[in-house]
Amino acid sequence: MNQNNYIYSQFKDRKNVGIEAEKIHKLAKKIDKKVCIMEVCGTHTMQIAKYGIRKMMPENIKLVSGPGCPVCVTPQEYVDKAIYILKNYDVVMATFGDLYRVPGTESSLEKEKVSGKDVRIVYSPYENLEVAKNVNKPVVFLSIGFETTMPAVACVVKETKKRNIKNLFFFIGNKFFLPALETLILYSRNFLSSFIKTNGSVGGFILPGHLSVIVGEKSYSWIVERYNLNGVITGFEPLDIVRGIRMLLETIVCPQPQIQNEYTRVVSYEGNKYAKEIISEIFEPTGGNWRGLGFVADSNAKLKKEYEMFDAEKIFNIPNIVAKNVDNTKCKCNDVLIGKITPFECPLFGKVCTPENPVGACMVSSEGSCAAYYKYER
Amino acid sequence: MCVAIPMRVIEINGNEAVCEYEGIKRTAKIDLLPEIKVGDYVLIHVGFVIQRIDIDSALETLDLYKQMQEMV
Repeated sequence: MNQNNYIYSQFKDRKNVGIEAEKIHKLAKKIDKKVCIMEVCGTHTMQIAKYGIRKMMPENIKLVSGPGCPVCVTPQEYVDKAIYILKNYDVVMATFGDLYRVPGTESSLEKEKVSGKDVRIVYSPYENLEVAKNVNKPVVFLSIGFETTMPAVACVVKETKKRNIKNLFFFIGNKFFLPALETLILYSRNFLSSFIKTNGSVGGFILPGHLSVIVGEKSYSWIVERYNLNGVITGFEPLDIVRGIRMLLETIVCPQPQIQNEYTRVVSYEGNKYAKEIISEIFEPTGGNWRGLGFVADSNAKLKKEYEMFDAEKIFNIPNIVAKNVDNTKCKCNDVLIGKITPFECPLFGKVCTPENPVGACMVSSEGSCAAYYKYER
Repeated sequence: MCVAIPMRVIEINGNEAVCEYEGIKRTAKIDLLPEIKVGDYVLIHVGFVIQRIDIDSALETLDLYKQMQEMV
C-alpha cells in the first residue's frame, strides 16, 4: 500500500474515529448546555451524513448544516439568465455537472439540452479552451464556485486572452465565501433567540478544508476578534471531522475562542499564494445575491476591466431578470441554507421534493443539505 | 463542489502533471503550484493541482492514534 492509500484508509479507520468520539462524549459532559456546531461546506455536510457522525454526537452537541455548496447558494436568476442566453443566442453552453439540473423559474439546463440546445458538461474549466477551438460559435462557460474554484477559472481566463481566443465567454457566478460567512453570523443573530432554545448556543464552525487550502488559516482571525466564536479548519475524512469537533469542544470548555487547523496536511497559515495572486489579477469583488442570505456586499466576483471582453454579461444583451422568488412556494431552501431549519422541517422534503424530482437547489445539488439528509439520514 | 482528489505526481511536462491514484491516471495543470516535483502527493481540484500534501504531517497525526490504540 502506498503512503497515500495508507493515510486515507487510516483517516477512515473506525477505531481511530471511536477514540475521538469517546473524547467528544467526555468533553460534552463538562459543558452544561446545548452547543451547536455549524459546518459551512457541502462536502462536510455529505460526509457527516454518510458516516453517521451526527448520530455519534452526545445529546447536547448538535451539528447544523449551513450554506455549504456554491450550487445551492447560486440565485435562481443566474440560472434564468443562462437559459435566456441559451434561448436567444446560438451558443454552446458549458457547465459543471453540478449546475445541470438546478431548476430556474421555468426551465433548467437539462431541459434545454433535451429540447435540442447545445449544453455540455465540463469537468475542468480548462476544457473550454478546446471546446472553443472546435466550434464556430460562441462558447459560454457558466462559472460558479468559491475561492477554491476561482483560481482555476482565472487561469483559463488569462489563457483565453493569451491565446487570443475570440469565441469563449465567462458568465461569472463565482462567489467569495468569507464575506458571506460574516453575513451568516450576523443573520443568525436575528433568529438566534429561538434558535438557542432548540439548538443551544453557536459554539463554532467547522471551516471548509479545501477553500482554506487557497485562503489560508490567517483569513479567519476576524471570527474570533469580532464575534468571539471558534472555528476549526477541517479535512473531509471521518477522522478529520470528529477530530475537528473534538478540537472545537476543547476551546469551548476552556473557554478560549480561537481558530484551529485540523487539516495541517494541506492547509497552511498563508494559503496558496499563486492561487490568491491570480484571483486578484483577474477578478474583483462586487455585491451580489445569495440564495438564503440575500444581498451580500463584496461577495460576488466579476472580471476586471482588462478581461471584460470575455464577460458574457457584457457581450450578450441579458435583461434584468427577477426570478419568481422560491419563497412564494413552500420550498424552504432559504431557511435550510442558513441552518434556521433542518431539511426535515420543510413540508416538501421527501414528499414532493426528492432527488429524482427536486424542487429546490438543496435537493438538486449532490452536496446540498436536503440531498445529504435524504440519502443518508431518513 | 470543492471536492479535491489526492494523487501522486508521476510525470511533469511543461505546465501539466500526470498524476496517479489507485491505478487511475489523470493530467492536471500545475499553474497554481509550479514548484511541485515528481513523487509529490498533491490535491487536484477541477483539473488543477492546488496543493502539495504534507505526508509527514499526516503520518505524525496517525502515529498518535496508533499509540492511543495500543494504550486501549
